[in-house]
Amino acid sequence: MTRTAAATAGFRRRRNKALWTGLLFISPWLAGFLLFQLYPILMSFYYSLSEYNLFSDPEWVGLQNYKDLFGDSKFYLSLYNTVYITVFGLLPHLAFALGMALLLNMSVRGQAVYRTIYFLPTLVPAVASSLLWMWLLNAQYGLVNELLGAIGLVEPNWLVDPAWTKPALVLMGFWGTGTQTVMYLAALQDVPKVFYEAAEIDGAGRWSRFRHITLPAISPMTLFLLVIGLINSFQYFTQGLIFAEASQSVGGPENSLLFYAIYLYQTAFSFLNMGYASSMAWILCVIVFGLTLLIFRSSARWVYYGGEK
Amino acid sequence: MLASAVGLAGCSDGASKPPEESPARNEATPTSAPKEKVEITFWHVWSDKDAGPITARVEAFNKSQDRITVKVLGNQDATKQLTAISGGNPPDIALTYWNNIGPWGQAGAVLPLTDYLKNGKVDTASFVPAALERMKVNGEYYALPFTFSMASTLMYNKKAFQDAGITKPPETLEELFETAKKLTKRENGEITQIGFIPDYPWIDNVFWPIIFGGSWVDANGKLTANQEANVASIAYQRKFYEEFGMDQIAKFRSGMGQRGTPNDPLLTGKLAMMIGWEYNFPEERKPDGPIGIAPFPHPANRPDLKGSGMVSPRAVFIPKKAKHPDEAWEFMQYLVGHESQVEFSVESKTIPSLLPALDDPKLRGNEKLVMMHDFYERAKSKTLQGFPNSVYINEYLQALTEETEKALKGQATPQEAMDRVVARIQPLADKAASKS
Amino acid sequence: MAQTITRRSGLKIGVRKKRGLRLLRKTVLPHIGLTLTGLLFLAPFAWLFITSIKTEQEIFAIPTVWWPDRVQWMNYVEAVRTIPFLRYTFNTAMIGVLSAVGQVLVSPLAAYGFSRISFRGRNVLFYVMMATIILPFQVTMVPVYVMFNKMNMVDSYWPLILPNFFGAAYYIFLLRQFFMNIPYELTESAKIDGASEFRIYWQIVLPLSRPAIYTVALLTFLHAWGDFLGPLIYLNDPAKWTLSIGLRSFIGEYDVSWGLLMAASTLFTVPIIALYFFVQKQFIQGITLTGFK
Repeated sequence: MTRTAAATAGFRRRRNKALWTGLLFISPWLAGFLLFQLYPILMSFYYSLSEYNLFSDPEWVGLQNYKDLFGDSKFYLSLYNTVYITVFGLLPHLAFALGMALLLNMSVRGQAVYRTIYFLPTLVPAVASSLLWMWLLNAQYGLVNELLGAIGLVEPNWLVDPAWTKPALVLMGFWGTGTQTVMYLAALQDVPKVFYEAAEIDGAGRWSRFRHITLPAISPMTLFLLVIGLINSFQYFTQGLIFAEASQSVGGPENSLLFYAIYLYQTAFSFLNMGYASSMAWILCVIVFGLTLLIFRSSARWVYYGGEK
Repeated sequence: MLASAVGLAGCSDGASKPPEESPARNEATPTSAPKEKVEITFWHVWSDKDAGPITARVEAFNKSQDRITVKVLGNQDATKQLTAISGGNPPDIALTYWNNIGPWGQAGAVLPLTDYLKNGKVDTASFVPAALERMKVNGEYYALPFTFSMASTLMYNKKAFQDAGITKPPETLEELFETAKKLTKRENGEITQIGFIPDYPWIDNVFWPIIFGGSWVDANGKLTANQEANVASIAYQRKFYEEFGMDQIAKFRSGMGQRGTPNDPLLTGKLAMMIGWEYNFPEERKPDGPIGIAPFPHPANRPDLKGSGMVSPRAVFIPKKAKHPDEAWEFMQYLVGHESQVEFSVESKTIPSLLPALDDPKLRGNEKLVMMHDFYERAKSKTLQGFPNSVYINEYLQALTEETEKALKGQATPQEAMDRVVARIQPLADKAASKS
Repeated sequence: MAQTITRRSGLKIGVRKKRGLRLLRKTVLPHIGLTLTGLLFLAPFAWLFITSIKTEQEIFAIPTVWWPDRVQWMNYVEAVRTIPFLRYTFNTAMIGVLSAVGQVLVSPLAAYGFSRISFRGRNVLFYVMMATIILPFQVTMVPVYVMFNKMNMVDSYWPLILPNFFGAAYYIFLLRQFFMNIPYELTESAKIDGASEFRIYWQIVLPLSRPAIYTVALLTFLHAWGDFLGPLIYLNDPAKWTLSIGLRSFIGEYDVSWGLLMAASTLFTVPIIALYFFVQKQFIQGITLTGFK
């Protein structure tokens, strides 16, 4: 009896110690959160329940903004555009980044130069690269359509036809995968060589080694890129704005480029409806947070951490 | 609301008087002891590329007197201005675009100028009415027009006219349509040159209704975007798409060349005519240049609308929480004053917003400004118009663009499209009316 | 006789073929793949550079001008003259370096807490941290500004640098993923020997994670380098401005100085290319270190 009590006390002491050590390690972030983030987050939640034009004092309206949202056709349209870019962009871009990282991880001469080249497009400022894309995707004399025409495929009017503006952005997105590639590369460098050596001795083929060693070993990175990619896709903003500018209107042709974050920004800073924009932000937050939780829950089945007991 | 604004002003600078306390009196009464030197900050939207003329004005003001020093800062776009004003750290005076004045003014970010105007040196009657009118929200002036851009001109490629044997530019909209047909060429069914594209360079939801004598709101606060003239203006634009083909125009347009570069379609003649602003082709439209100009055509049955067009002013305003509103007002009066208006117009090739300045010999007698002379004259036109400023203006404009696009593409009739705009925006207008 | 010869030579060919195949698979094919896609990835920068040495006429010419008649180096001279290029480069680099220092000092600490110490409430805190980046910045921008204004930090570099010294969810999450992947046995033996958590962090986990730390430093620096909205909103004094604001100088109200903009953009890009080239070498050093595992 006393023994169990002592053991429980010991356990509790150890658990308390872990709590304090853990909190100590995360305390810088915690302090930053309390200092810089908590107040703005709480304020934005308060705004979402108010009518607030950025200048006068917010007026409490309860759930009115949220109710209005559900009757707003542009809310659904912008959500649709955003989901579209997430569904068709995120996974292909990740798969592509992984493929590139595998190529760049091979021991080939001149790899340093290749690695730099693949990262280059991410470094070119958006104002400059968008100009290139407007030119590449031009319906009349653009290179992409010349290639498509040469192999007898449809030649879409990328920047003008509302059915093709988002695919154009997805296509362009492949050039922006440099960051993901670098991260996969760093993860690949971390896979212990002995695993491969052991597998080779067992006679495992290339595919089998990739499937059973590489993929599981980099699965923590895949989880990261998936979650961050999801978050970023739902906040898709700059490129959509630049593309829409080509058609001289926010939202682009038939609002096909009116992404959620763009509509939110317009609502807040052009329509001065910060209350409504904040309620949009919180709806987004709930959706993405839910999806993030789902991914984390499922990750027990497909993410393998070397550090697990 | 008033109390909180005053309180905040007091907090941020104990010495400054709350602006509501008839501020102009301080200026008007001659004080015995000279006041202390005051530094005020002035923000504008121009980047370095275009900032020269405004910087010169600031320097001239600083030299003209020794009480106020203006610190000028460019590159301050709307987002920055909004954040800073809302965040409690506004400049003393700023320049922005006219359509921000409505929402910002109604939201309480901008100091109404009513009291200042009563006692100041500025005579509101001397402004170009269409430009000044844009500064008014619910009967109060929240800003003054510094300069404005004006679309009341038809610009055309002289060589394209010659090749087609056209001797004089169209005078009515009906002639414009016929001329556009004559100036459009096709090869193998594809357009190789086009006479006119009504929504080039963009869908203009203000210009076209003005040309047809339309309006957007009546005296009772009812929105009028779906009235006959407005609808007719969209139906007219739609005619071009029916004539030349939606897809064909879209395809040709994408390969037409970049606007404002040496490959501008009007310069290359791929586009024969377009709606012109005073900043388009300043060099090329000189008498011996390749671009011709004419008043924009009017409806044949409405000769009274001759010379009409749209103005979009740049506005100078004082943020409500400005630390030195009196000194800012002093500087504002200088900016919109005759001398400053003329000098700025000379340097930046813009149109002054002051009527007497339009006839100043420094502008009219200046050979370097020969391409502006017509525009100075047209700026006096009584039929110039603009979009009414209001708190909901940006939603209204956005809705107009969206629905006009649908009508142009034939997805809705012009009437349906405009009815939808009114249905969407009227509640906002009612709400704004009930608040003020 | 004839048969054996054939057979023999066939054997030889087979060996050679095998070696050839190996060479093909290990060297030639990767090179072809890397070069082909590499050219596609080089295109935006090549285009940027070529545009920067063209005249305005050539930039928008139809059909496309692939190489200018006369190389316009003057675009570079003009670009550097138009804006205080050195000053802006220095400002930007300083913000970038200090931000990276902050992140590298702090984010790994928090990541360690979130990955290798299991304590009550850890998951909840982790999800709270994730929520902070899920909420769009547009709605917190103004309250954040209000805070920095109350702290009297507007028109200084503090709002741009200081938050980095408290870590960022993005990098903490990234590092957490790396740390969780470090084999348990590596740290457990040290724990049994009585090493403190901090010692394990400092002497085992950090050295093992060098590629990840370099990645964080690189990405933080890049973010600061390209950030436009932050400097725009917080910096008023033009002497404090950064390159990304400087780039805007070439974009006028009605027209853009394309040649100059492209020249300035090229100059904007070059320092980070050099930086990246250096950092990716560290990845290779990472291999030799992690090879011990």
